Amino acid sequence: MRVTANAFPNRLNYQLAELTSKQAALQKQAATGQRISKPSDNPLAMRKVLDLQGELRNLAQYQTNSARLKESLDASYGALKQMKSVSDRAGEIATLADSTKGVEGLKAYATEINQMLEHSVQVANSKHINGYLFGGTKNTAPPITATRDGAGKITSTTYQGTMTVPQFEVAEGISLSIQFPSENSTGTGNAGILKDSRYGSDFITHLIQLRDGLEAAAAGGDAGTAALANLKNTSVSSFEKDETAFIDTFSTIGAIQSRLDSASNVSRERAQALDPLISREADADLADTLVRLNEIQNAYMAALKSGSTIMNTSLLDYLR
Amino acid sequence: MEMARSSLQVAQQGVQLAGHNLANAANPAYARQRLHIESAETIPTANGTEGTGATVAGFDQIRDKILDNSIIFEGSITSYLEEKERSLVQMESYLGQNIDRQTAAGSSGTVGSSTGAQYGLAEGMSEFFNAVQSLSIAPTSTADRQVLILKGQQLASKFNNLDSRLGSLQSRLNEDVPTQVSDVNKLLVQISEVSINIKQSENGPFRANELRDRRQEKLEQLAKLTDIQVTEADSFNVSVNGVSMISDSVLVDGFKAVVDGAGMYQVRSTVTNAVIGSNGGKLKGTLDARDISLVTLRGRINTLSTNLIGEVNAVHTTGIALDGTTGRNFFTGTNASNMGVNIVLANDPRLIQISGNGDPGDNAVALTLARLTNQTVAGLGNRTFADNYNVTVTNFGQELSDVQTKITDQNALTQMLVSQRESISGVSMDDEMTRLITFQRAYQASSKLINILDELLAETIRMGV
Repeated sequence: MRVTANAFPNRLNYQLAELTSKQAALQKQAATGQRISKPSDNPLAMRKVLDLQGELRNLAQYQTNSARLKESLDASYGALKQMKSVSDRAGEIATLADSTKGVEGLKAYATEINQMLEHSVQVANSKHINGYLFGGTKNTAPPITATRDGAGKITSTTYQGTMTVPQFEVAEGISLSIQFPSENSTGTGNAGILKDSRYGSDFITHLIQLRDGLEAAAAGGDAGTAALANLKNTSVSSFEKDETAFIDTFSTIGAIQSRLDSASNVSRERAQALDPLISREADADLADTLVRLNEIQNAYMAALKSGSTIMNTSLLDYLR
Repeated sequence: MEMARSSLQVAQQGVQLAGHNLANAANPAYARQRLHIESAETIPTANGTEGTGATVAGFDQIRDKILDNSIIFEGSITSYLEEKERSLVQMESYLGQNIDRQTAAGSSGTVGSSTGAQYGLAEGMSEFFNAVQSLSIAPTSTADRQVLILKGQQLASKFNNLDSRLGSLQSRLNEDVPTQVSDVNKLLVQISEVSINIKQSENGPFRANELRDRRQEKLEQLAKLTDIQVTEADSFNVSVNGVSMISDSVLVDGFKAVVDGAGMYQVRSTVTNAVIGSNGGKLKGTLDARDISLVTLRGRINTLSTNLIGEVNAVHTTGIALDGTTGRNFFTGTNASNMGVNIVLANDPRLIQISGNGDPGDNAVALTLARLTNQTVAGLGNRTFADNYNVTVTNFGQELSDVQTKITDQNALTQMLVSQRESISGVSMDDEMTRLITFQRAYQASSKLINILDELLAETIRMGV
């Protein structure tokens, strides 16, 4: 092929431009550590990365959901633990209360139960961040409203919340309810912590009955004796029902916690598994990139060197 | 003596032509010329025909017409692809869907910021639906409601900006059309003028080599603007997609840019007013980028936003706000250009309607909203929002990648053709220097011949005296 004055510089320019372009691409890969950064770099890889990133963001959100729900569940567990302590002590008092305790002893029991009653109502109206824990879906107002007598003692309570609780999504298509209403007479869903038809539990009413029974017993006389007998007959078994409801609710909380942990772990493991997949599509193999960059740099230098040598030589150098 | 004189003239012209070739060695439009030397007419003698030396028959231009036309054709394709790439690269940057795995924190430090993505629509949609998820965990939380409003506004703003930038690019591309049309017309006029000069100059036996060089250069410039068909048998003609522009060297038609009903320039014939459908060149690249690539991308983004607005609002309107009211849309607007978050909700996030039964702690509608992210939408070809967007990004990336690959191939092809043409038509310094020496020696030899003849003549005269 005949090589002319313009042919050689043209070809050298083209080759240098090609090598410069390749050098720039490899240098970018080495500097960023990424094989692709724009959709046009590798559309198919970009598609995979976009899908994987979307999934990763969803999983991150589910992990956040699980963490927040766990906080809320822990708050419910803490409140229920206090109720269980009250229940234990109330059952104990119901068992211990007899004529040998004397008037003062029975009065002291009654006062203690009344305090525990107040505490239980307070616990049932516990709040966590923005809402009341045991109000079901009506969680912006205290769920338990107490009716008091002239002496300020609670005579009855009214549940203002709902018996249904919201569902929360912890993974795609997996929802669970982590809340407990104060009362539930529907026979389905999470148990009401104070009152539930499935267990026959009615903790607040039982506390009121125990307190009133102890006060009646302390008053003495036939009525007092009858009240003591009634305590033995009914209160002990009533608190046993409450106890069963509490224990079952603890079990439910444990199961929910386990599901939350499991869902969170699955999300985390999936997220961990996705990162290498994103890396495989998007990240550059640094060793390979640097070797190729070195090759291109050598080729570039060789092109410059050989080009300058050839272009400096012509027939004119040998003509007189 | 006469033979020696003509030999001197031939050698002189040879030296002059070598000098002319050397002077144009760096001129890419120049095709080298060769001195066409013929034997001078012979004289019949008693001993047979006798040679009378050499004469210059003309200056031959070394050109390969097929290569010239191939370069015109390929130049048109290269320009088309380069112009299209220029626009697509801008669109890609506007899309903003890049990967930056070295950036640890993304927009607002939100979830997903560690996935190594910049803030594109994919992240915007994820963050919006994740904000709905967060709100479903705490339906009465004012903070979560405010975050949802913020994420909705960011997403809407992303759609607005993208649409606005694409619209602005469309306008700029449109404004470029009349400029290119004007350039096409200028070149057509110049080519016609040069062709008429060639015709007049070549009325005799000689070819107008320099004018042909100039015309070839103009034709290649024109081909970069629009694809042309050049024929030169009996007459020189140029046409664009079957529409004759130059007929027998005379300019018979031209381009004009006419605004259509949508405010877009259409390229039409100045004579027939018919649309000229070009198949290549920068002008075609501008029109394709404006009318196909950009319209397709903008349309897909608009379809996505329209469906997103519709689906989110369809669910949101069924929900009940914390104050018990219902029926409000979450998003306002109908497409990417005017999408926004309902100002009433933005001013009072408690009015976000996520309760299904009116209870403040109920999150039924929030869950339905959050699940939209995984649901297929009929209006998006039964794809999810993210899937639809990812397909849009992939298709767009594929289009740009294809164009860039074609440009690489095209550059290699053009380089090959130019090299071939250079090897045929280009000036070789070594070649010309060698010829220069040849003609120099021929001149010296002819001079010597004159000396000898002169001496012989002097001797003859002395003999006579």
